[in-house]
Amino acid sequence: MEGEGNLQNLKGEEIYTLLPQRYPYMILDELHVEAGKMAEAHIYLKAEDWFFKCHFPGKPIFPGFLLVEAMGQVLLSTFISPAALIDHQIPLMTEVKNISFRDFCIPGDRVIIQAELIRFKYGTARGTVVAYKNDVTQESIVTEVKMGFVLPQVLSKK
Amino acid sequence: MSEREKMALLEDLFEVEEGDITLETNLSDIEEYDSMTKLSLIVMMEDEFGVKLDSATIKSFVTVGDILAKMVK
Repeated sequence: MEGEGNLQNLKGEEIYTLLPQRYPYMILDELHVEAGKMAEAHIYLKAEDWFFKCHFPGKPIFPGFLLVEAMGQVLLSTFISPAALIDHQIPLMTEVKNISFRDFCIPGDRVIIQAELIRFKYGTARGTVVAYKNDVTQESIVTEVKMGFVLPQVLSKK
Repeated sequence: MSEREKMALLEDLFEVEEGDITLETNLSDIEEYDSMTKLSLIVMMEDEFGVKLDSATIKSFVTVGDILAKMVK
């Protein structure tokens, strides 16, 4: 795999050099990637974050769908090729298995997301992704899922 | 390519250990044999064997052996 083992530590808009998502859909604050293997990201939730204004007024809770999107972005960072950003052959999330939420996050929390790439071969990628609240312990797991991505050129073969 | 090598390709595709599947294994008993794995199978067959699989052929697969029979160079 191209760039396998390559380590990257990215902050803020530096993450745009690796991933195609943009604010307000890109909310990762820090991203550490070992290409072809694993990645860890941090999100520092702030009261002024856009999603807290609407989810929910007076009772801010980090939306679950946005957490899943962020988890997908972290897994994507482990295998996306630089060429995908140039020719827009961006892998698409196609699978989120057996998701359930054990906890939720609020302003002031740090969301820690760890992704491990299981395989990236024949146009599809699969990995396990775990989201934690503030600490990396079994007790602080918010959700853990198995996720999958497919390259768009493979989808056209269906 | 030997039968063992072909089985190794399928074991990798289905994320199972060596020996976990046989020619008689029913595909419905393989946890990872889902729509995403079927896409990978299409690409693998094309890349490794030059065989194009259509959806009717994939639907006709019942056992691992049915897939192996199509893995011909």
